[in-house]
Amino acid sequence: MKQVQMRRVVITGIGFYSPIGNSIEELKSSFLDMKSGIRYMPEWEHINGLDAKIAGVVAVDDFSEIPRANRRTMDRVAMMAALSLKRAIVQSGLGDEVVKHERTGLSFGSAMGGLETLFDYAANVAGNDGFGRQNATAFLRFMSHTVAANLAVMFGIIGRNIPTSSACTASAQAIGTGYESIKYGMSDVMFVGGSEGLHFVEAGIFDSMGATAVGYNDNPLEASRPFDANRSGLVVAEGAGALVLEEYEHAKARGAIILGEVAGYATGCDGSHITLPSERGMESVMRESLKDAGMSPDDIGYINAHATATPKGDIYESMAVHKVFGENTPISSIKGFTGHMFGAGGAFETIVTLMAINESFLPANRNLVEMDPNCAKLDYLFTHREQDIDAAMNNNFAFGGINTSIIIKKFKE
Amino acid sequence: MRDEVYNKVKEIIVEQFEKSPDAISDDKRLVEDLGLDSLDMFDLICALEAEYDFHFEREMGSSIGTVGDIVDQLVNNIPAK
Repeated sequence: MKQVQMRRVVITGIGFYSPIGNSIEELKSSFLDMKSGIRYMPEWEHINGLDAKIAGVVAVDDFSEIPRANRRTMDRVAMMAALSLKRAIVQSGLGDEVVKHERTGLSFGSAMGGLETLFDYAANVAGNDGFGRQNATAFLRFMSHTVAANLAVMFGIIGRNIPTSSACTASAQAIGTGYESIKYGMSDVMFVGGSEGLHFVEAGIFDSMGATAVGYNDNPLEASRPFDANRSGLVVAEGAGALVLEEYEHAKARGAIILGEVAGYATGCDGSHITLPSERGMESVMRESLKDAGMSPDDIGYINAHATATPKGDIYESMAVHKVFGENTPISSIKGFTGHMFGAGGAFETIVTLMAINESFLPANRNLVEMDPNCAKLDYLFTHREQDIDAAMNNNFAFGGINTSIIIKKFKE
Repeated sequence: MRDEVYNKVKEIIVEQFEKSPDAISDDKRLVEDLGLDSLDMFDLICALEAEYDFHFEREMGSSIGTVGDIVDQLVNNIPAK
């Protein structure tokens, strides 16, 4: 029987855009100052029937450093991802000989593709009664795998390219795919992550489902309240996150600075309701990732929760966490600061989890004032905590009952 | 009229494809000299159609090689303003 290779997977580069900062220093400062990235959207004032006119917005509009030949087929969703990955590769120190190698691959996702372009395209088709004068590059900017496809072209990827488009778990599954590709020997380096561009349609979609935080248009900073008794729903947000994953010996041989290790990953599915979360499914994926990492719940020093601040989701998640960990593991959802970054969330929150380990800094649950008595008893972080930890877990859950759990640990030889 | 059309074509190529105005002249080949590819060609035609309220038939595209070819196609086919 063929021996299955089991190799260590380390992180050697990160890059991101978020509503609360685009560097680790900015992030930490936002967490320390309890600074929110959510604001009122005057741009959406004219949209009829949209109750929640608030969002987490990234402060970047200049993408001119992306060559025009690449930029022409990119929506904002791909451009934020492209610059995030560029920064991550620069930090990793990898040269072109590795980036453009058969053993280097890519896995990126988003929830919606290029929604802004898709909206404009559909409006043009409807307005012109057809396809005359439609831009030839529009589809390439809005297609569901626009991020992975455009990044592969821009960076010259010739290894595997696996787009993930599972909404809120898109970039967590991208990290998992990259991790498994390296662990099981198919690749030596994987560029992974995800992205999401902001559009009012996204807000409207969740508004229609009764899932957005309403009643906070005059007070956006307090809108996103994971685990709080007075939460009313999520706040839509945008952003991007990219990580360079590398096989340990490969990184060591070139003297790379190793930021952390991906110790475990699992993904699973509820196979039941299309939107209602399943406590059993969440519990299962956490246990499976622990098993994959060869760890016990006691080894995990912090949990970065998915908790989007929807009334039911937070309760189910808290109960699943309680079943696996009991009540003593520190836990926070950073969506109180950022809102829900959808396809970027898994990657960005994994980067925050890495920050928590490396900086010995566990971010708080912003706006958690009064615990929801229906949530399980856990060590919710009401304020940030400075604490040394060796490993932490990041969980994400998506419509369709798709669940992911990623374990990051402090790098040791 | 030709000068007017030429200047508009030049303006669109400069803006849309981020080319230097100095790089554009009648005899410049769109693909070989200006580096446009098939996607760029479609987008250029799309922009010109919007500007002149005119529809390029697909076979007309095959006869376009240079900046001057585009200008001539437009001059010969668009109604005078």
